[in-house]
Amino acid sequence: MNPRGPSLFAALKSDARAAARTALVTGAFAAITAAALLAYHVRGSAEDFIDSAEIADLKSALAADPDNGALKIEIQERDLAIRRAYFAKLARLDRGIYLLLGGVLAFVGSLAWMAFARRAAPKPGAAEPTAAAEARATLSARWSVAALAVIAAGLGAAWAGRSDLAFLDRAVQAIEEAKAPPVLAPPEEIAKQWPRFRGPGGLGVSAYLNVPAEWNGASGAGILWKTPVPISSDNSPVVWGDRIFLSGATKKRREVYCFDAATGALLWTGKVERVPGSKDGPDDIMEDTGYAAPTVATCGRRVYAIFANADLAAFDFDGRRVWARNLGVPENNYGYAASLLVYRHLLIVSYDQAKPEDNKSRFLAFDIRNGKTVWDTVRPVAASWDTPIVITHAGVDQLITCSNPFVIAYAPDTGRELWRADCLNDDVAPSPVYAGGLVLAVNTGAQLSAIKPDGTGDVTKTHILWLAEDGLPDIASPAATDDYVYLLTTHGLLTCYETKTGKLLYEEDTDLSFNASPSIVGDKLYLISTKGVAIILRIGPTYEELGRSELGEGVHASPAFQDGRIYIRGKKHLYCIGAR
Amino acid sequence: MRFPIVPTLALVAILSGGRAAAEQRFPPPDFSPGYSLPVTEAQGAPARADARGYIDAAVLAGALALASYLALGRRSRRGLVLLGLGSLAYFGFYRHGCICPVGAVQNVVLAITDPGYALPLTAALFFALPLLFTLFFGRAFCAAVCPLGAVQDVVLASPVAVPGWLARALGLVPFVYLGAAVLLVATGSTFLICRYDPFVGFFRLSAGLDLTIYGAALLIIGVFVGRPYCRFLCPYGALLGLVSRLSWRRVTITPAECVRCRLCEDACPFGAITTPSPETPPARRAGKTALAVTLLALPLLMGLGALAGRALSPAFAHTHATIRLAERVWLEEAGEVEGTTDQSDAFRATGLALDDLYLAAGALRARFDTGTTILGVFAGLAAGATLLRVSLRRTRRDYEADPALCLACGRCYRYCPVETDRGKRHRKPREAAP
Amino acid sequence: MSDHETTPIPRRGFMRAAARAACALGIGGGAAYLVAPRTPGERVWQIDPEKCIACGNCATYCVLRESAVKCVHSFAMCGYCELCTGFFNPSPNDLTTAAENVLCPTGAIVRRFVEDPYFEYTIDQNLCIGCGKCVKGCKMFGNGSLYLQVIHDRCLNCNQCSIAAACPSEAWVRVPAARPHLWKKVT
Repeated sequence: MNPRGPSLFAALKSDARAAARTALVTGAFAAITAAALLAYHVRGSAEDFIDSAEIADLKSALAADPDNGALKIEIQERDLAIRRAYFAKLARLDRGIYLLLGGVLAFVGSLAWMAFARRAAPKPGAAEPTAAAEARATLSARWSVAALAVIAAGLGAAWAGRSDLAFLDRAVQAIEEAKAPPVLAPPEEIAKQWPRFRGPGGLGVSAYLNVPAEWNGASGAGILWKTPVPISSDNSPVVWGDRIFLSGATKKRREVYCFDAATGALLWTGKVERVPGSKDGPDDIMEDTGYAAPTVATCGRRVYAIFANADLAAFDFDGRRVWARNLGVPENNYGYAASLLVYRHLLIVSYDQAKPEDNKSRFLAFDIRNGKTVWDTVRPVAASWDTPIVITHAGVDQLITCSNPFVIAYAPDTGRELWRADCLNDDVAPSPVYAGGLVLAVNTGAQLSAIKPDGTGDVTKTHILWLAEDGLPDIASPAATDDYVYLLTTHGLLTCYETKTGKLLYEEDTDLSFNASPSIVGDKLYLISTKGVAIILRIGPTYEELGRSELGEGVHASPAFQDGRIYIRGKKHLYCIGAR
Repeated sequence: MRFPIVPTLALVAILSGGRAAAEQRFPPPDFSPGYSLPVTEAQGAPARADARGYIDAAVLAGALALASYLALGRRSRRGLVLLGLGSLAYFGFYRHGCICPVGAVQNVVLAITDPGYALPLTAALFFALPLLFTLFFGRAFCAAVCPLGAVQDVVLASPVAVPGWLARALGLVPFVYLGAAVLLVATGSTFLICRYDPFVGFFRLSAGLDLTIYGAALLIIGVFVGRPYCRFLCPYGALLGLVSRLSWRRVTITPAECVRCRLCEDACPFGAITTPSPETPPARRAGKTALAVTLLALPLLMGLGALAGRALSPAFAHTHATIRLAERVWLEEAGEVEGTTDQSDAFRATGLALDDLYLAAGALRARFDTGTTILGVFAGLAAGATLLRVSLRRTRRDYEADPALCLACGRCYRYCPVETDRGKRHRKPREAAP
Repeated sequence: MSDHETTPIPRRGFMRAAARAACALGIGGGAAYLVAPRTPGERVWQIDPEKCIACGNCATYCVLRESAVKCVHSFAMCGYCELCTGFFNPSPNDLTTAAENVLCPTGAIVRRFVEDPYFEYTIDQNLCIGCGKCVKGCKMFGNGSLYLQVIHDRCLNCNQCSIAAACPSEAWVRVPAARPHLWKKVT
């Protein structure tokens, strides 16, 4: 046997202090190495090297100044330096880790030595286990399990509190809803409301005859309330029950407003932001059109809005966004302006743009429940600014659309074309109307055409009953009854034709300017000028003015008529005209 | 023309509109003779042979057999230490700690729950062999085969005793951990045990900051507290502990008759040595009442667990990539977050319907609801079982190793005078110590 | 008096043996059942190049300090373009291999003239770090002949791959070890 064995053993065993000192030194070494390694590790990551911001900046500088030779050299040098630094770091980390490993091993070894040197012979405890001690141990074990459960519950609650799956409830609910038949308001209910631009049929006809005919903005006479609208835009009010909806937009902000019909209070503002694929803008539109020219539409449960950047959004009546999508900014030199319309469960959007030969114009129908495209029809027409209407002629629903050069009727549920007439020209902004069984389409630069909507294919030569060329409007839409058609130009020329024959009955220059379309209330015609002067006249073969009322604020939007009330959007305020 | 491709490029970019995988935009050229296409990188590399896995499994089986022999037959602590270091070197540093039996639990669960996943034979062997060996010979796997155990054994320098009551409560954690790991595998979320393996980073000599800190903390604790991961976290240890209650042979402190000298009382750094029952037993009635109350409370505990588990369902669900993706996409669609992520971009590029994503997330949520409820019941059951074990009295006459807690490390052997005595008789007498 | 004395030891031993046998059968049989009916071969991680979006995570999430993922090149698919969008910046200053013109942060792509107007691009696997910049460029505007693959003599084949857990497009899949790559095929 090796005689030195026992003595070395004894020496190790006896020198506990040496063991402690060794442990201290090796421990300190390991700790310092670890700290250094850690500091080195966190300094600069692989991302800094792979996606070096410095190199990216230099490269974009070079793109701006492609012939800068010095810059090229700089990029090459910096690239090399960054690369070198990164790989040098990796190599150092590799070496450092082995150093650390060695240090830790030495430390653990010296700890073991220390433990070995300090190990004493086992000394049994003083007392044998007693029943009392055992009972105590049992009790404390129970309590510790309980304490652990409480701690786990606390941690669990903290963890659970940070996450919920409410989004999934809403997403799945929307899917279920889309599977179920749509919940739609009955037609007679829709007829009582003002759910879109120019009322239920889009014809500017009031369902109520008891609306006021006199008011004064300066004195407040006949005005129930007025309330400021956060963003001034030219779209018109839409009303459902006790809620009034408007939208407003700037280049960067897009908002939908809901006002209380009773008090005018702003109930909620729905912000249309962060729509997937959406961009701010566009830059090049006419100031007169603005970013929120299209009027919103409602189905009675939700309100839908579209903006100049083609953000299309649906809000429920409590202001929660239900869905939103971006259609891509249309090519439109004045700015997008066609208003929305809801037909059954379809939200119909005019997406006319560019020139006829570009084949970019489309009409789209979206499912109001989830915003999914139901049909998408390409049209051989140019950009347009008018709002389509849905008529029922001989029991068949037709979607009447106007754009240079065609009036086209589609089946509103499928987007299938029914007939077309080549009778328009230029930039079409006046919307079509339907009266006396005739579709009336008009634009400056073309003519007023009365079309019988019972043809198929191209009906230009067969179904245009009459044409007229006097007093053609460029913004305001016509208003028509079974007997009379009224055209109103921006410069204030009011022209009246006989619906059945197209016979010119009279022309009257009002000396005012108009953007708002005329409206029909029973046997009265309401015109509201850009300065806020309302002219009310008797519908008939001659010009018979019944009165004028001044709002005292400019008006570009068309009014909305309800039971005993008129809602008018001024440039800054929303007005409720009515008797107290 | 210097850049003939530039106009084409712009056109292609417009036409392709994103989804254009493996599209031959530029036809491969017809080279003049003499040019041969190079071989794709790594294509010449040999296929990864299965043999590697089978060697690992064979090494595992051999190590288990050797460990069992050393623990039960030779009763050699030194042999176990050497084998442990060998396992640490092979399974740990050489094989980088992957695959290990601890993680193999998850592969088995995945094979059960995901019909598309084929359980590799290696994973099956890694899962089953230690359990089978434990069933017959006790936890020899923990003693000297598991690299995670070995690394903690190496650092255990000055053990302090963890009070029995605390160890009892902390002993519940592995069961909950196991349950959570099973849940996350069964729902297709992640391999929890592997992701939070504290020591695998040391084996690879490379780990993220969080896991480095976690592993280092466990090792530092492990200097004073014997094998903290094995006892208070390891989910496979929970299974082994259950199985070892049934084991055919297992480590005993003394090779023969216990003389109740009490020398081994403090020998075990894992608190696995149970003391003999007191001479005067406590009042039987009180004990019986406690037992009855605990038994009655068991369903209550399970019910509470179920409620707690169900409440944690959304939190667990968020560990699943599909749920997180669905939430992200929904928030993006609803305009509640700015911009998109790589995930949402990748999803949109697939052209799959949003609704299908939401429905898939909805189906997953239902699985999580059920799974977390079961997990809660299981946790309640585990807590109840612990309380029951505390309440059950069994008369012990000797100093014994608790089968569920004993890691078969053999530290206690040399504390036993009977063992020392036997050793002296077996070995040749050495020259007398001075 | 105590349980120890009233319970007959042999019966208890028998019960334990039976339970043990059942347990052994359960563990062994269960494992065998799960293995037997399916292909029991080893599984390794691989990237499905059709799903990969070249996000860059492969370079940074691997547990290895230098990723096991590298770029490979299916030459049969390559257009041998003079202006390779996997090699050059989107709008290169010049068609040279200088740092200001190239995408690869490590210069791992070797550009070699073959014949007018074709250039061959090979990956230096020692330099490639799997960042996928070239993959993105090639996929977006080119033939997609550059793509990422797990290089198996580097990969540790972790049970839970860290990159797979971070992959945004679910492109990481387990494939049989006997066929460990997912090569792109010429379409």
